[in-house]
Amino acid sequence: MFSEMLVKLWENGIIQMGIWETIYMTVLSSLIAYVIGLPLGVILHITDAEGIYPLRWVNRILGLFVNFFRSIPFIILMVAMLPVAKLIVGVSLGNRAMIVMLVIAASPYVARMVESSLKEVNAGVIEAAQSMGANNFQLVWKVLLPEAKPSLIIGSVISMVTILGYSAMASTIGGTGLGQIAISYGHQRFNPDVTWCCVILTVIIVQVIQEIGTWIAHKTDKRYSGGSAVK
Amino acid sequence: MIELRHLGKIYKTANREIVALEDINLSVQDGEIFGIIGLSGAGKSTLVRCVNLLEKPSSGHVFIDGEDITEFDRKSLLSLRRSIGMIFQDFNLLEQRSVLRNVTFPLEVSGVKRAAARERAMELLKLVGLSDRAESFPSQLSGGQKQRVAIARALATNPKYLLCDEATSALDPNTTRSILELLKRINQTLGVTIVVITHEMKVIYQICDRVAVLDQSRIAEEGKVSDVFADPRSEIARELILPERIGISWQKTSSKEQQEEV
Repeated sequence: MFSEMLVKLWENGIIQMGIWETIYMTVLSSLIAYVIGLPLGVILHITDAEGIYPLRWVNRILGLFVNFFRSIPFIILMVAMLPVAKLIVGVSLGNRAMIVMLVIAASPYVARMVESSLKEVNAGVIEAAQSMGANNFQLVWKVLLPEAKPSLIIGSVISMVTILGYSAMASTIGGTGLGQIAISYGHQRFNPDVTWCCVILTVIIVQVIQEIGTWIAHKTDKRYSGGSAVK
Repeated sequence: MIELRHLGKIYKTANREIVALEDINLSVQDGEIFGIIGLSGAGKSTLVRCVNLLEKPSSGHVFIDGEDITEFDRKSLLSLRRSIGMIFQDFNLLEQRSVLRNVTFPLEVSGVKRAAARERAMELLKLVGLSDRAESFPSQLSGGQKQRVAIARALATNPKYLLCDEATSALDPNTTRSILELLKRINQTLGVTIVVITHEMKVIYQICDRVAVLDQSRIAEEGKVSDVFADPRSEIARELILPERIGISWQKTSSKEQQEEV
């Protein structure tokens, strides 16, 4: 029923390894992308003309920078950024280089996701906090981010799924994971069942990320009495 | 005392200027409830926001207890705002914080220790009659309860002044009445000076000592509520008062039968 290749890949633990590599690359890249993208998103939001600290030029330049990276298809960005990866992690091949690429591609994306989550926070709540004498740091730290939390979590799930999608292109620069298995063992050696196996596993991983994320977001959201709001 | 001197506010858009306030002169005495009434678009909300400089006036001065706050630096302004509470039409509670933590918020912002802040917040929740809802979240409260939480929150830092921006406009008549009674009680027992912005004459009638009628960015009339009510001199005051006068006399006879909503 299964091709010899699929059985061999499973028995040698290559598929299991692929699952692990895909997950760890996605999670690690997402984490680093948030370390960079979250502050970027906050700056984009507060320096906007309608924000709490309007700074037209900072907003403009940052916006252009973010748009620049977001408009390049990942596969091209990856090739173009090889020297950058070499500069940062010393190699331009393999998973470490791949993580650099993923972070470069995902951070601007994350910044926009964060920005749009913060936009959802009711302007009246910000104004109320201002009327109580909150400074800008307190507005961000005690109002904007906590009030946007459920939306930020939903956004991080969407970002992670996108990053997982990007990570499948890893094989182009010698990265590993389910994408690489699908291409080199499945597609290039004519074993469609290997490809499909990778597809199904990817779908399952995405579903799990999505479910967990949605569950956490709902659980932390106090706007619905169905969550932990009832004590 | 709050004094507005020749206050003006102009909004500049790309191709034109919109005058929101023009040459406003007002004094609010300590201990009184001062009402500002006007139709929507008259500039009421802008006016009240000039008192704590949430809106920066384009011209004129705002004196709080004799100090010109339009000349304050950012730091003094932030600490001044802690002595002026404000409540809003849409309550503007922090949705992700419990009732208790909403009330402790202004204390947190001004650096009060957690235990002391909690104690103070519980006191205030008792004052507004919501001690039993301390651990609830805003989404679980009714409109009237939300406004009570907002009042408790606005009073947390022991402000001398309380600004109310259409505080009862989103509430039904019964709830409006109980919120107004609460405001009156706060004014009488705590001595907080209250500025009320509204488009409803009955709000002015029920709790205010003095009133200013705002029309097309200017003050059309100002005086004791009883005087303005008995003898409105401006066109706009007559327009606002006359239909309400009929409404209020009707309400007074029927309100006893209505049940108090908490």
